[in-house]
Amino acid sequence: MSKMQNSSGEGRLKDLLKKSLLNSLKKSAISLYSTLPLLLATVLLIALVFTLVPPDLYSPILESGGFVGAFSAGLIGSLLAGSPIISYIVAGELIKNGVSLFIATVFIVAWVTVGVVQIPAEAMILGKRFALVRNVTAFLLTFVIAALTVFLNNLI
Amino acid sequence: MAKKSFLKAIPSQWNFLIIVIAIYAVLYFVDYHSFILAFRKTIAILKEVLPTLALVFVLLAVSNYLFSSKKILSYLKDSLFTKWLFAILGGILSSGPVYMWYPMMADLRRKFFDDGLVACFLYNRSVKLPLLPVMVVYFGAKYAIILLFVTIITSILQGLIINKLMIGEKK
Repeated sequence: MSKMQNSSGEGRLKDLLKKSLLNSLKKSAISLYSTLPLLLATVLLIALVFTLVPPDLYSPILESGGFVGAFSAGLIGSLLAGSPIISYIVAGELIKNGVSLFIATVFIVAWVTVGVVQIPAEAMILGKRFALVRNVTAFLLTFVIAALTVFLNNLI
Repeated sequence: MAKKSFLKAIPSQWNFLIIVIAIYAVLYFVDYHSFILAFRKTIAILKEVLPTLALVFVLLAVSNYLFSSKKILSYLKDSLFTKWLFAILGGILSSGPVYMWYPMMADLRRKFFDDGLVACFLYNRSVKLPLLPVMVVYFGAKYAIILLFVTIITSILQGLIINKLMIGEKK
């Protein structure tokens, strides 16, 4: 009797795990599917921009390595939104075109930590001052993270 | 009218792709050479990205399977250390768009969290473990791991800064 109860309990647990696993697979498929059009469009656009806009035009700004290059990368990263994969692709292409790792890192970090597009929603739910202070400090810390990461990457 | 309802029927994430394809169509007729170059560049980038997307799918499924938001909440205890740990791990492990988490953060701030912990949670959402393989492909494992740790440390720093700056702010 108890054996039968155990086996039915095990069966229920297996069913539950199977259902939960299927649910997770479905959720990730939906998540990836909803990103795919944006990913494809971004890749197409990046290829187009890199073809039509010669590196000589934007590289001096980003390659300058100084305040203007880093600030521009941070600003562009903060304004753009979407899957972080897109920022990796863009930063990877920038590095291939001679942009420094520091500026590429500023771009990636600003992309994922500063959300200019989401500020209205954040301000509405968490407060205007909080949203402003959080995004401004995140923007400033972008340069700290990039400097530390590049320093440690060269050191280790 | 019919045109408007047709556009509304298209999911918003497809609109951007349709616009870019339209630009390519124009380029095909205006500058065929650039069209071919851009198309080849697209294929080259996709070849780099697509294999890793399969891995991303598996890792997303694993993180969805192991960590639901209810499960994360159940681990929340009263100690300050646990709260910071929760803010860091919760931020790293949570998935979906960041704005989905704002209501939960507002709720947590009313009950257990201060502004710094909310900021720490939101900052750690920038750590995407399932996307780590993509970053490794582009920048190398050493860089990816260093950036991961520096981001986590900075999230605590930001939390502490926010707590200082938000003193006296009414919730």
